[in-house]
Amino acid sequence: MTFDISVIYQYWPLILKGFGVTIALFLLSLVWSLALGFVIAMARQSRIGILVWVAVSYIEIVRNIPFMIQLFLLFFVLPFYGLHMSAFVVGVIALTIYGSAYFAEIVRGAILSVPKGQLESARAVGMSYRQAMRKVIFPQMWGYFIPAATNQAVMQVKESSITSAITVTEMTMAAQIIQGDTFSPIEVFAVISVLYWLLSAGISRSAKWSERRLQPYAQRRHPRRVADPGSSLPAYERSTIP
Amino acid sequence: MTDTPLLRLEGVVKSFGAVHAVRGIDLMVSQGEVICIMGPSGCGKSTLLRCINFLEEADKGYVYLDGEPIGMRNVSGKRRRDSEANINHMRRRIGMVFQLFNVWPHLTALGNVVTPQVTVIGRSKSEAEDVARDLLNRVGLADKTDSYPADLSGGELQRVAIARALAMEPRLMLFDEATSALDPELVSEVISVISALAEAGMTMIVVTHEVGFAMRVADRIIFMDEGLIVEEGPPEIVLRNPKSERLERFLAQVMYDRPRSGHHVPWTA
Repeated sequence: MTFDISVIYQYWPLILKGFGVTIALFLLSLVWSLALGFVIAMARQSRIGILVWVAVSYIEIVRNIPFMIQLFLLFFVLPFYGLHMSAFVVGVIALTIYGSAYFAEIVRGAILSVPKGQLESARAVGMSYRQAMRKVIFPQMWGYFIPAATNQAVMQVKESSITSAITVTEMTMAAQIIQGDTFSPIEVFAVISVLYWLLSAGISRSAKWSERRLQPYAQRRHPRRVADPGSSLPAYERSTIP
Repeated sequence: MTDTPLLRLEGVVKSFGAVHAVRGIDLMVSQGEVICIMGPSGCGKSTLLRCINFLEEADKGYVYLDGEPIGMRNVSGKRRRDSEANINHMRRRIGMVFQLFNVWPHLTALGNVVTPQVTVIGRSKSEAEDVARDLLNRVGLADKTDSYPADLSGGELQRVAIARALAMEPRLMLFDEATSALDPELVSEVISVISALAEAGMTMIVVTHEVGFAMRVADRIIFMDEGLIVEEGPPEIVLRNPKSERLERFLAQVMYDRPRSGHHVPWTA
C-alpha cells in the first residue's frame, strides 16, 4: 500500500465541507449544552423537590444510554410522532442533550468544590443565594470547571462523528464517502484524524487561555491550585489549618 | 441598659442526626454587651453562634434581634420559616467573622469590603469605596487595600473579614474562634482590633479560647459543655472561682500556668 496524496487533493472540498459541518455540530451543541447544563445544575442544586427530581432523572437517563441509541431514538422515532427534522438538526439536538447531562454534573461539581465557607461568608453579610452565587461562587469555580469541561468538549467533538450514522455529512461521513469512491482508507482516515486532533488540541488551547482570563488571581497567585485537584482549599487557607 | 434586649434566644436546640450539638439555650444580650463563650471543642459553641444568624437552622426555639425573629417566626404557636428576603435582611444586621477568614480570594481587600455593600445595601460604588477605605484604615490595612488575599497574612485576612462585616453596619458581631487559625505572633493584631471594637461599644458574642482576652474584654463569660450553658457571669467571678468541676478542669487545660485548687505551681507569680 502506498500513501497517495492525490486522493486528498481530489476530494479536498468534500473533506473541508465535512470539517466545517463537524465544527458547526460541535460549536452549536457546545453552546446549547453549556447553557442547558447550567440550568440543569441549578435545578439539581435547588431546594424545590420536583426540580431536583427532574434534573436527576434527566442526568441519569442521558448518561446511561449510549449516545448512538439516543441519536437513533431522536432520528427514527420522533418522525412517528410527526416531528420531522433534518439529520443535522437532530445531530445538534442529540449532542446538546448528551453534553448537557455531563456539563450539569461538571458545573455542580465545580460549585461544590469551592470551599463552603465562601458561601457562608457571603450569606452572612446578607447576600441572597443568587447574589452569593453570582458574586462569590461563580467567579471562583472556573478553576474546577474548566479542566473537566475541556474533557467533555473534546468528547463532544469525537462523539459528533457518530452522527454520520444518521447521514449527517460531517467529517467522518465525508471520509466514508471518499473511501467508498477510491478504496484508499489510509490517506483519508489519516487526514481526518489529523483534523480531529487539530480541533481537540485547539479546544484544549482555548481552555487554557480562558482559564487564565477567567481566574487571573488563581494563575498568578496560586500556580499549584489548578494543577493540584487534591486540595480543595486555596493555598492561603490550607497553610493556616493547625 | 434598654428594656428590650438586643438579642434574645429562646430554647434553641440543634442536633446533627444523633449528635445533640445545642440542647436548649436561653440567652439575653443587652446593647453594648460583650459576651465570650468558652468551652471544650464539640460543646456546641460554634453551632450556637451559627444558629444566631441562621447559617444553621435550629430544630427548636427562636432567635430575636431587636425583637424581630431571625429565620423562624412564631405564628400563633406554630414555628414557621421566615421569607428568604426577611432572613437576608436580618443576617445583614449581624456581622460574622469566621475561624478560617472566608475572605473572597478573587477580590482585593477593598473589593471584599465594597462588594457586599453594593450588592446587599445598594450603595453606590464610590460611596462603598469611601466606607471600605475608612474601615480598612481603622483595622490597620490602609496600605493593603489593593492586595489580593493570597498576598495577605492570616492576621491581615482576618482584619479584612472584620472590615467586611463592619461595612454592613451590624447591630451585633459574632466571632467564631477568630484567632484560632492564626500563627501565635499574628493573634495580637486581630485581638487588638476586636478589643477596640468592644471599647467602641459594639455588641459582640465571641467564641474564643483566649482566656486573657476574655478576662479583659468580656462583660460576661458563658461556659458551655455538651450543648448547655454550665456557668455564666462576669469574667472575674466565672474564671477565677469556677463553681463546676467541669469548668475547673477546662481552665486547668487552657491555662496551664493557672494553679488547680489544692496544688501550688511554684513558677507562677
